[in-house]
Amino acid sequence: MIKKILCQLICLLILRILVQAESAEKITVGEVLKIGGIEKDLLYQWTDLCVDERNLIYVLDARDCSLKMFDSFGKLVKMAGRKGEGPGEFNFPIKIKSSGNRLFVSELYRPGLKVFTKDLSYVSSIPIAGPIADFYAKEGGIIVAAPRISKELAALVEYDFEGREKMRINYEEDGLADPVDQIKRFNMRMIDIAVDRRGDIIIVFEFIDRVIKLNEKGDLIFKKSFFGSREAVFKNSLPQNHVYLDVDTDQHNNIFILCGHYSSNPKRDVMVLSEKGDYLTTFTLPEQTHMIYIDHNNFLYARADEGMAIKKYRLTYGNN
Amino acid sequence: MHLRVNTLGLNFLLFLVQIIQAENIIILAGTPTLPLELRGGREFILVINQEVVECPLCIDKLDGFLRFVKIHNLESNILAILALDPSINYEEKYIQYLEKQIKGYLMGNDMRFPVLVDRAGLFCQKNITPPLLISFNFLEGKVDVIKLPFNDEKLKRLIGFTGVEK
Repeated sequence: MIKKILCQLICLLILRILVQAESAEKITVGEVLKIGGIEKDLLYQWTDLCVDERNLIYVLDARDCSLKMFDSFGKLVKMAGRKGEGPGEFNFPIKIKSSGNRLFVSELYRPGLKVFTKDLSYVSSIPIAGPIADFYAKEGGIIVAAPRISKELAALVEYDFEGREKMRINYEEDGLADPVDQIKRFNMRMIDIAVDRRGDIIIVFEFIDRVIKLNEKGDLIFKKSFFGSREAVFKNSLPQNHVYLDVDTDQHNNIFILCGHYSSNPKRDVMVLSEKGDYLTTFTLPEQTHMIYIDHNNFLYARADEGMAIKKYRLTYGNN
Repeated sequence: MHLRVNTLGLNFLLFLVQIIQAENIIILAGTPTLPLELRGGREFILVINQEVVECPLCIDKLDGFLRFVKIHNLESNILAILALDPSINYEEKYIQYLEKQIKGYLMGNDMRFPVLVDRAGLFCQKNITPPLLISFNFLEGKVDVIKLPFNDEKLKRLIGFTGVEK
Protein backbone atom coordinates (compact mmCIF):
# COMPACT_ATOMS: atom_id res chain seq x y z
CA MET A 1 0.00 0.00 0.00
CA ILE A 2 2.73 2.38 1.02
CA LYS A 3 4.69 1.40 -2.08
CA LYS A 4 1.64 2.14 -4.21
CA ILE A 5 1.19 5.58 -2.68
CA LEU A 6 4.89 6.29 -3.04
CA CYS A 7 4.79 5.28 -6.70
CA GLN A 8 1.84 7.53 -7.32
CA LEU A 9 3.58 10.42 -5.61
CA ILE A 10 6.71 9.91 -7.69
CA CYS A 11 4.63 9.76 -10.86
CA LEU A 12 2.82 12.94 -9.93
CA LEU A 13 6.11 14.66 -9.21
CA ILE A 14 7.56 13.59 -12.55
CA LEU A 15 4.41 14.70 -14.31
CA ARG A 16 4.56 18.07 -12.58
CA ILE A 17 8.15 18.57 -13.64
CA LEU A 18 7.35 17.69 -17.22
CA VAL A 19 4.34 19.94 -17.62
CA GLN A 20 5.37 22.98 -15.64
CA ALA A 21 6.14 26.12 -17.59
CA GLU A 22 9.67 26.19 -18.91
CA SER A 23 11.80 27.63 -16.16
CA ALA A 24 12.42 31.22 -17.16
CA GLU A 25 14.60 32.40 -14.34
CA LYS A 26 17.12 33.36 -16.96
CA ILE A 27 16.57 33.87 -20.66
CA THR A 28 19.22 34.62 -23.19
CA VAL A 29 18.82 35.40 -26.86
CA GLY A 30 21.04 34.28 -29.69
CA GLU A 31 20.74 35.73 -33.18
CA VAL A 32 20.02 33.09 -35.80
CA LEU A 33 18.92 35.16 -38.78
CA LYS A 34 19.00 38.71 -40.09
CA ILE A 35 16.71 39.85 -42.90
CA GLY A 36 17.51 43.07 -44.71
CA GLY A 37 19.95 45.65 -43.44
CA ILE A 38 21.34 49.00 -44.36
CA GLU A 39 23.27 47.57 -47.27
CA LYS A 40 20.31 45.73 -48.81
CA ASP A 41 17.18 47.01 -50.52
CA LEU A 42 14.84 44.53 -48.85
CA LEU A 43 13.29 46.49 -46.02
CA TYR A 44 12.98 50.23 -45.58
CA GLN A 45 10.83 50.82 -42.50
CA TRP A 46 9.06 47.64 -41.50
CA THR A 47 6.31 47.90 -38.93
CA ASP A 48 5.06 44.40 -38.15
CA LEU A 49 5.46 40.76 -39.04
CA CYS A 50 3.95 37.35 -38.50
CA VAL A 51 5.11 33.80 -39.18
CA ASP A 52 2.86 31.02 -40.36
CA GLU A 53 2.99 27.27 -39.85
CA ARG A 54 5.22 26.89 -42.91
CA ASN A 55 7.72 29.27 -41.31
CA LEU A 56 7.08 31.88 -43.96
CA ILE A 57 7.62 35.39 -42.63
CA TYR A 58 5.15 38.08 -43.67
CA VAL A 59 6.35 41.64 -43.20
CA LEU A 60 4.71 45.04 -43.56
CA ASP A 61 6.88 47.88 -44.81
CA ALA A 62 5.42 51.33 -44.20
CA ARG A 63 7.98 53.17 -46.31
CA ASP A 64 7.32 51.47 -49.62
CA CYS A 65 3.77 50.53 -48.53
CA SER A 66 4.21 46.85 -49.20
CA LEU A 67 3.52 43.40 -47.88
CA LYS A 68 6.52 41.09 -48.26
CA MET A 69 6.91 37.37 -47.84
CA PHE A 70 10.24 35.83 -46.88
CA ASP A 71 11.16 32.19 -46.51
CA SER A 72 12.71 30.80 -43.34
CA PHE A 73 16.19 31.62 -44.67
CA GLY A 74 15.29 35.27 -45.13
CA LYS A 75 15.00 35.18 -48.88
CA LEU A 76 12.34 37.43 -50.40
CA VAL A 77 9.75 35.23 -52.05
CA LYS A 78 7.07 37.68 -53.04
CA MET A 79 5.99 41.26 -52.60
CA ALA A 80 2.66 43.01 -53.00
CA GLY A 81 1.06 46.37 -52.45
CA ARG A 82 1.90 49.96 -53.09
CA LYS A 83 0.84 53.36 -51.89
CA GLY A 84 -2.75 54.22 -52.62
CA GLU A 85 -6.39 54.14 -51.68
CA GLY A 86 -7.46 51.19 -53.78
CA PRO A 87 -7.95 47.52 -52.91
CA GLY A 88 -4.72 45.97 -51.78
CA GLU A 89 -3.01 49.34 -51.57
CA PHE A 90 -1.70 50.88 -48.42
CA ASN A 91 -1.16 54.26 -46.89
CA PHE A 92 0.72 53.24 -43.75
CA PRO A 93 0.39 49.52 -43.00
CA ILE A 94 0.98 48.98 -39.32
CA LYS A 95 -0.14 45.56 -38.00
CA ILE A 96 -0.35 42.12 -39.56
CA LYS A 97 -1.74 38.88 -38.16
CA SER A 98 -2.41 35.51 -39.69
CA SER A 99 -5.14 33.00 -39.10
CA GLY A 100 -5.83 29.92 -41.18
CA ASN A 101 -5.05 30.71 -44.78
CA ARG A 102 -5.53 34.45 -44.41
CA LEU A 103 -3.49 37.50 -43.53
CA PHE A 104 -5.07 40.55 -41.90
CA VAL A 105 -3.56 44.02 -42.14
CA SER A 106 -4.46 47.23 -40.36
CA GLU A 107 -3.31 50.72 -41.28
CA LEU A 108 -2.44 53.74 -39.23
CA TYR A 109 -5.29 56.24 -39.00
CA ARG A 110 -7.53 54.11 -41.20
CA PRO A 111 -10.42 52.00 -39.93
CA GLY A 112 -10.94 48.45 -41.07
CA LEU A 113 -8.74 45.54 -41.94
CA LYS A 114 -7.50 44.37 -45.32
CA VAL A 115 -7.55 40.64 -45.96
CA PHE A 116 -5.00 38.83 -48.11
CA THR A 117 -4.34 35.23 -49.01
CA LYS A 118 -1.07 33.67 -47.97
CA ASP A 119 0.30 34.31 -51.46
CA LEU A 120 -0.37 38.02 -50.94
CA SER A 121 -3.46 38.35 -53.15
CA TYR A 122 -5.96 40.88 -51.89
CA VAL A 123 -9.27 39.32 -50.91
CA SER A 124 -11.46 41.88 -49.19
CA SER A 125 -11.75 44.48 -46.51
CA ILE A 126 -13.41 44.04 -43.12
CA PRO A 127 -15.22 47.19 -42.07
CA ILE A 128 -14.41 48.07 -38.49
CA ALA A 129 -15.27 51.47 -37.12
CA GLY A 130 -12.59 53.57 -35.54
CA PRO A 131 -8.82 53.37 -35.52
CA ILE A 132 -7.38 50.04 -34.43
CA ALA A 133 -4.72 49.97 -31.72
CA ASP A 134 -4.07 46.25 -32.04
CA PHE A 135 -5.89 43.09 -32.98
CA TYR A 136 -5.65 39.33 -32.87
CA ALA A 137 -6.84 36.98 -35.59
CA LYS A 138 -8.27 33.65 -34.50
CA GLU A 139 -10.39 30.95 -36.02
CA GLY A 140 -13.71 32.43 -36.98
CA GLY A 141 -13.03 35.98 -35.87
CA ILE A 142 -10.86 38.86 -34.94
CA ILE A 143 -10.40 40.45 -31.53
CA VAL A 144 -9.89 44.15 -31.96
CA ALA A 145 -8.61 46.73 -29.54
CA ALA A 146 -10.05 50.00 -30.76
CA PRO A 147 -9.91 52.82 -28.27
CA ARG A 148 -12.70 55.22 -29.04
CA ILE A 149 -12.84 58.92 -28.40
CA SER A 150 -16.09 58.66 -26.49
CA LYS A 151 -17.43 58.16 -23.03
CA GLU A 152 -17.84 54.44 -23.58
CA LEU A 153 -15.66 52.16 -21.59
CA ALA A 154 -12.82 50.82 -23.63
CA ALA A 155 -13.44 47.31 -24.80
CA LEU A 156 -12.08 44.53 -26.89
CA VAL A 157 -14.51 43.68 -29.60
CA GLU A 158 -14.67 40.37 -31.39
CA TYR A 159 -15.86 40.55 -34.98
CA ASP A 160 -16.53 37.88 -37.53
CA PHE A 161 -14.79 38.11 -40.88
CA GLU A 162 -17.65 40.16 -42.29
CA GLY A 163 -17.22 42.83 -39.66
CA ARG A 164 -20.23 41.87 -37.54
CA GLU A 165 -19.75 42.28 -33.83
CA LYS A 166 -19.86 38.98 -31.95
CA MET A 167 -19.02 39.97 -28.42
CA ARG A 168 -17.51 42.72 -26.39
CA ILE A 169 -15.11 42.52 -23.45
CA ASN A 170 -14.72 45.59 -21.30
CA TYR A 171 -11.23 45.91 -19.96
CA GLU A 172 -11.30 49.36 -18.47
CA GLU A 173 -12.23 49.62 -14.86
CA ASP A 174 -14.57 52.25 -13.57
CA GLY A 175 -11.84 53.36 -11.28
CA LEU A 176 -9.41 54.23 -14.04
CA ALA A 177 -8.97 57.97 -14.00
CA ASP A 178 -10.70 59.06 -17.17
CA PRO A 179 -9.48 62.47 -18.23
CA VAL A 180 -11.97 64.90 -19.69
CA ASP A 181 -9.48 65.65 -22.41
CA GLN A 182 -10.62 63.36 -25.22
CA ILE A 183 -7.30 63.21 -26.94
CA LYS A 184 -5.56 62.23 -23.75
CA ARG A 185 -8.28 59.66 -23.03
CA PHE A 186 -7.74 58.16 -26.45
CA ASN A 187 -4.00 58.02 -25.93
CA MET A 188 -4.34 56.44 -22.51
CA ARG A 189 -6.40 53.66 -24.05
CA MET A 190 -3.71 52.67 -26.52
CA ILE A 191 -2.96 49.05 -25.82
CA ASP A 192 -1.27 46.02 -27.27
CA ILE A 193 -2.76 42.59 -26.92
CA ALA A 194 -1.61 39.00 -27.12
CA VAL A 195 -3.52 35.76 -26.82
CA ASP A 196 -1.85 32.72 -25.30
CA ARG A 197 -2.33 29.05 -26.10
CA ARG A 198 -5.25 28.80 -23.68
CA GLY A 199 -7.04 31.66 -25.36
CA ASP A 200 -6.43 34.04 -22.47
CA ILE A 201 -5.92 37.66 -23.45
CA ILE A 202 -3.03 39.74 -22.18
CA ILE A 203 -3.28 43.51 -22.43
CA VAL A 204 -0.48 46.00 -21.88
CA PHE A 205 -1.13 49.71 -21.86
CA GLU A 206 1.32 51.81 -23.83
CA PHE A 207 0.98 54.92 -21.69
CA ILE A 208 -0.12 53.56 -18.32
CA ASP A 209 1.73 51.13 -16.08
CA ARG A 210 -0.83 48.37 -16.28
CA VAL A 211 -0.74 44.76 -17.42
CA ILE A 212 -4.02 42.84 -17.47
CA LYS A 213 -4.87 39.25 -18.22
CA LEU A 214 -8.43 38.19 -19.01
CA ASN A 215 -9.91 34.86 -19.90
CA GLU A 216 -11.96 34.40 -23.08
CA LYS A 217 -15.08 35.57 -21.31
CA GLY A 218 -13.41 38.69 -20.03
CA ASP A 219 -13.00 37.65 -16.42
CA LEU A 220 -9.97 39.21 -14.84
CA ILE A 221 -7.12 36.79 -14.12
CA PHE A 222 -4.64 39.34 -12.90
CA LYS A 223 -3.79 43.02 -13.00
CA LYS A 224 -0.22 44.15 -12.40
CA SER A 225 2.00 47.22 -12.40
CA PHE A 226 5.77 47.11 -12.52
CA PHE A 227 6.88 50.72 -12.60
CA GLY A 228 5.11 52.21 -9.64
CA SER A 229 1.81 52.65 -11.49
CA ARG A 230 3.21 55.59 -13.40
CA GLU A 231 1.73 57.15 -16.49
CA ALA A 232 3.65 58.32 -19.49
CA VAL A 233 4.55 61.99 -19.58
CA PHE A 234 2.00 63.97 -21.57
CA LYS A 235 2.55 67.28 -23.31
CA ASN A 236 -0.43 68.98 -24.94
CA SER A 237 -2.35 65.73 -24.52
CA LEU A 238 0.24 63.81 -26.50
CA PRO A 239 2.42 61.16 -24.82
CA GLN A 240 6.15 61.82 -24.82
CA ASN A 241 7.24 58.32 -23.84
CA HIS A 242 6.01 54.74 -23.52
CA VAL A 243 5.51 52.55 -20.48
CA TYR A 244 5.06 49.37 -22.51
CA LEU A 245 5.49 48.88 -26.22
CA ASP A 246 4.36 45.36 -27.02
CA VAL A 247 3.45 41.96 -25.63
CA ASP A 248 3.58 38.37 -26.80
CA THR A 249 3.59 34.87 -25.34
CA ASP A 250 5.85 31.88 -25.83
CA GLN A 251 5.02 28.21 -26.23
CA HIS A 252 4.84 27.81 -22.47
CA ASN A 253 2.38 30.68 -22.00
CA ASN A 254 5.03 32.87 -20.44
CA ILE A 255 4.30 36.53 -21.10
CA PHE A 256 6.96 38.68 -22.79
CA ILE A 257 6.54 42.44 -22.43
CA LEU A 258 8.66 44.95 -24.31
CA CYS A 259 9.33 47.77 -21.87
CA GLY A 260 9.49 51.45 -22.61
CA HIS A 261 11.13 54.46 -21.08
CA TYR A 262 10.81 53.50 -17.42
CA SER A 263 12.94 50.44 -17.89
CA SER A 264 16.71 50.43 -17.52
CA ASN A 265 17.18 49.86 -21.24
CA PRO A 266 14.21 51.48 -22.96
CA LYS A 267 12.88 49.58 -25.98
CA ARG A 268 15.39 46.77 -25.39
CA ASP A 269 14.34 45.26 -22.07
CA VAL A 270 11.87 42.41 -22.32
CA MET A 271 10.19 41.54 -19.04
CA VAL A 272 8.98 37.96 -18.68
CA LEU A 273 6.06 36.94 -16.51
CA SER A 274 4.64 33.53 -15.80
CA GLU A 275 1.15 32.84 -17.08
CA LYS A 276 -0.09 33.73 -13.61
CA GLY A 277 1.59 37.11 -13.82
CA ASP A 278 4.53 36.44 -11.54
CA TYR A 279 7.71 38.23 -12.50
CA LEU A 280 10.30 35.77 -13.76
CA THR A 281 13.14 37.65 -15.39
CA THR A 282 14.16 40.45 -17.74
CA PHE A 283 16.51 40.11 -20.66
CA THR A 284 17.87 42.82 -22.91
CA LEU A 285 17.89 42.78 -26.70
CA PRO A 286 21.01 44.11 -28.43
CA GLU A 287 19.10 46.81 -30.34
CA GLN A 288 16.08 48.98 -29.71
CA THR A 289 12.87 47.68 -31.15
CA HIS A 290 9.28 48.88 -31.41
CA MET A 291 7.78 45.39 -31.25
CA ILE A 292 8.47 41.77 -30.46
CA TYR A 293 7.01 38.65 -32.02
CA ILE A 294 7.40 35.05 -30.89
CA ASP A 295 6.63 32.37 -33.45
CA HIS A 296 5.29 28.86 -32.95
CA ASN A 297 8.84 27.50 -32.73
CA ASN A 298 9.66 29.89 -29.90
CA PHE A 299 11.91 32.18 -31.92
CA LEU A 300 11.71 35.89 -31.12
CA TYR A 301 11.74 38.53 -33.86
CA ALA A 302 12.65 42.18 -33.32
CA ARG A 303 13.76 45.27 -35.12
CA ALA A 304 17.32 46.06 -36.15
CA ASP A 305 19.18 48.65 -38.18
CA GLU A 306 16.66 51.42 -37.46
CA GLY A 307 13.82 49.44 -39.00
CA MET A 308 15.72 48.34 -42.09
CA ALA A 309 16.31 44.84 -40.78
CA ILE A 310 14.62 42.08 -38.83
CA LYS A 311 16.54 39.88 -36.45
CA LYS A 312 15.42 36.44 -35.37
CA TYR A 313 16.63 35.13 -32.03
CA ARG A 314 16.63 31.76 -30.37
CA LEU A 315 15.33 31.93 -26.82
CA THR A 316 17.41 29.91 -24.39
CA TYR A 317 15.92 29.21 -21.00
CA GLY A 318 18.03 28.46 -17.99
CA ASN A 319 18.25 28.69 -14.23
CA ASN A 320 20.43 31.24 -12.46
CA MET B 1 13.90 85.86 -61.86
CA HIS B 2 13.66 85.95 -65.68
CA LEU B 3 16.43 84.96 -68.09
CA ARG B 4 16.63 84.36 -71.78
CA VAL B 5 16.14 80.74 -72.72
CA ASN B 6 19.61 80.07 -74.04
CA THR B 7 21.29 81.63 -71.04
CA LEU B 8 19.02 79.75 -68.72
CA GLY B 9 19.66 76.51 -70.54
CA LEU B 10 23.41 77.07 -70.39
CA ASN B 11 23.25 77.87 -66.69
CA PHE B 12 21.20 74.77 -66.06
CA LEU B 13 23.67 72.66 -67.99
CA LEU B 14 26.58 74.09 -66.05
CA PHE B 15 24.67 73.48 -62.82
CA LEU B 16 24.05 69.85 -63.70
CA VAL B 17 27.64 69.26 -64.75
CA GLN B 18 28.84 70.69 -61.44
CA ILE B 19 26.40 68.55 -59.54
CA ILE B 20 27.35 65.33 -61.28
CA GLN B 21 31.06 65.96 -60.98
CA ALA B 22 31.03 67.16 -57.41
CA GLU B 23 32.67 64.69 -55.03
CA ASN B 24 30.16 65.21 -52.31
CA ILE B 25 27.12 64.46 -54.37
CA ILE B 26 26.14 60.93 -55.21
CA ILE B 27 23.43 59.76 -57.50
CA LEU B 28 20.97 57.81 -55.46
CA ALA B 29 18.65 56.57 -58.14
CA GLY B 30 17.81 56.97 -61.79
CA THR B 31 19.70 58.95 -64.39
CA PRO B 32 19.95 62.72 -64.34
CA THR B 33 18.03 64.28 -67.16
CA LEU B 34 20.29 66.27 -69.42
CA PRO B 35 19.00 69.67 -70.39
CA LEU B 36 19.27 68.78 -74.06
CA GLU B 37 16.23 66.60 -73.65
CA LEU B 38 14.18 69.34 -72.03
CA ARG B 39 10.96 67.49 -72.43
CA GLY B 40 8.09 69.91 -72.55
CA GLY B 41 10.53 72.75 -72.04
CA ARG B 42 10.43 72.36 -68.31
CA GLU B 43 12.58 70.90 -65.57
CA PHE B 44 11.82 70.69 -61.88
CA ILE B 45 14.22 70.37 -59.01
CA LEU B 46 12.72 69.11 -55.78
CA VAL B 47 14.92 70.00 -52.84
CA ILE B 48 14.26 68.23 -49.56
CA ASN B 49 16.17 67.94 -46.32
CA GLN B 50 16.60 65.26 -43.66
CA GLU B 51 13.74 66.61 -41.58
CA VAL B 52 11.27 65.88 -44.35
CA VAL B 53 12.64 62.37 -44.77
CA GLU B 54 12.66 61.50 -41.08
CA CYS B 55 9.16 62.65 -40.31
CA PRO B 56 6.52 60.24 -41.74
CA LEU B 57 3.84 62.91 -41.80
CA CYS B 58 6.17 65.41 -43.44
CA ILE B 59 7.26 63.15 -46.26
CA ASP B 60 3.63 62.23 -46.84
CA LYS B 61 3.03 65.89 -47.69
CA LEU B 62 4.84 65.15 -50.91
CA ASP B 63 2.16 62.62 -51.85
CA GLY B 64 0.02 65.28 -53.49
CA PHE B 65 3.00 66.50 -55.48
CA LEU B 66 3.77 62.98 -56.67
CA ARG B 67 0.17 62.46 -57.70
CA PHE B 68 0.38 65.69 -59.68
CA VAL B 69 3.59 64.46 -61.32
CA LYS B 70 1.89 61.22 -62.33
CA ILE B 71 -1.24 62.87 -63.66
CA HIS B 72 0.71 65.37 -65.74
CA ASN B 73 3.34 62.87 -66.80
CA LEU B 74 6.21 64.89 -65.40
CA GLU B 75 8.34 62.09 -63.93
CA SER B 76 11.08 62.50 -66.53
CA ASN B 77 11.22 66.22 -65.74
CA ILE B 78 12.03 65.83 -62.06
CA LEU B 79 15.37 65.86 -60.32
CA ALA B 80 15.34 65.56 -56.54
CA ILE B 81 18.08 66.70 -54.22
CA LEU B 82 18.46 65.65 -50.61
CA ALA B 83 20.24 68.63 -49.11
CA LEU B 84 22.17 67.96 -45.93
CA ASP B 85 22.94 70.75 -43.48
CA PRO B 86 26.64 71.56 -43.99
CA SER B 87 27.02 72.63 -40.36
CA ILE B 88 26.24 69.11 -39.09
CA ASN B 89 28.75 66.29 -39.23
CA TYR B 90 26.49 63.42 -40.19
CA GLU B 91 27.50 59.83 -39.54
CA GLU B 92 27.78 57.76 -42.66
CA LYS B 93 25.23 55.33 -41.33
CA TYR B 94 22.69 58.10 -40.88
CA ILE B 95 23.14 59.27 -44.46
CA GLN B 96 22.66 55.70 -45.65
CA TYR B 97 19.51 55.53 -43.56
CA LEU B 98 18.16 58.69 -45.21
CA GLU B 99 18.98 57.31 -48.64
CA LYS B 100 17.09 54.13 -47.88
CA GLN B 101 14.05 56.01 -46.66
CA ILE B 102 13.88 58.07 -49.85
CA LYS B 103 14.35 55.00 -51.99
CA GLY B 104 11.56 53.20 -50.20
CA TYR B 105 9.26 56.19 -50.38
CA LEU B 106 9.75 56.57 -54.11
CA MET B 107 9.28 52.86 -54.70
CA GLY B 108 6.08 52.90 -52.73
CA ASN B 109 4.85 55.72 -54.93
CA ASP B 110 6.04 53.99 -58.09
CA MET B 111 8.39 56.82 -58.93
CA ARG B 112 11.81 56.52 -60.55
CA PHE B 113 13.15 60.04 -60.90
CA PRO B 114 16.77 60.56 -59.89
CA VAL B 115 17.69 61.68 -56.40
CA LEU B 116 21.03 63.30 -55.70
CA VAL B 117 22.41 63.42 -52.18
CA ASP B 118 24.05 66.78 -51.57
CA ARG B 119 26.51 65.94 -48.82
CA ALA B 120 28.27 69.28 -49.10
CA GLY B 121 25.06 71.17 -48.38
CA LEU B 122 25.20 73.22 -51.57
CA PHE B 123 21.43 73.38 -51.52
CA CYS B 124 21.11 74.17 -47.85
CA GLN B 125 22.13 77.79 -47.85
CA LYS B 126 20.48 80.88 -46.46
CA ASN B 127 18.56 81.67 -49.63
CA ILE B 128 17.64 78.06 -50.32
CA THR B 129 15.57 76.58 -47.53
CA PRO B 130 14.23 73.11 -48.27
CA PRO B 131 11.75 71.71 -48.83
CA LEU B 132 11.01 73.55 -52.03
CA LEU B 133 10.41 73.05 -55.71
CA ILE B 134 12.42 74.96 -58.31
CA SER B 135 10.86 75.15 -61.73
CA PHE B 136 12.93 75.93 -64.81
CA ASN B 137 10.72 77.01 -67.69
CA PHE B 138 12.98 77.02 -70.72
CA LEU B 139 10.33 78.03 -73.21
CA GLU B 140 9.51 81.23 -71.41
CA GLY B 141 12.87 81.68 -69.74
CA LYS B 142 11.55 81.73 -66.23
CA VAL B 143 12.56 80.26 -62.90
CA ASP B 144 10.02 79.88 -60.18
CA VAL B 145 10.37 78.64 -56.63
CA ILE B 146 7.59 77.34 -54.43
CA LYS B 147 7.71 76.01 -50.91
CA LEU B 148 5.74 73.26 -49.22
CA PRO B 149 2.86 72.70 -49.25
CA PHE B 150 2.86 72.09 -52.98
CA ASN B 151 -0.85 72.43 -53.44
CA ASP B 152 -2.52 71.96 -56.80
CA GLU B 153 -3.03 75.68 -57.25
CA LYS B 154 0.67 76.44 -57.00
CA LEU B 155 1.61 73.50 -59.18
CA LYS B 156 -0.95 74.30 -61.86
CA ARG B 157 0.42 77.81 -61.94
CA LEU B 158 3.81 76.36 -62.80
CA ILE B 159 2.27 74.26 -65.56
CA GLY B 160 0.37 77.32 -66.75
CA PHE B 161 3.67 79.09 -67.44
CA THR B 162 4.25 77.01 -70.54
CA GLY B 163 0.65 77.02 -71.64
CA VAL B 164 0.77 73.23 -71.86
CA GLU B 165 -2.49 71.61 -70.85
CA LYS B 166 -2.00 68.16 -69.36
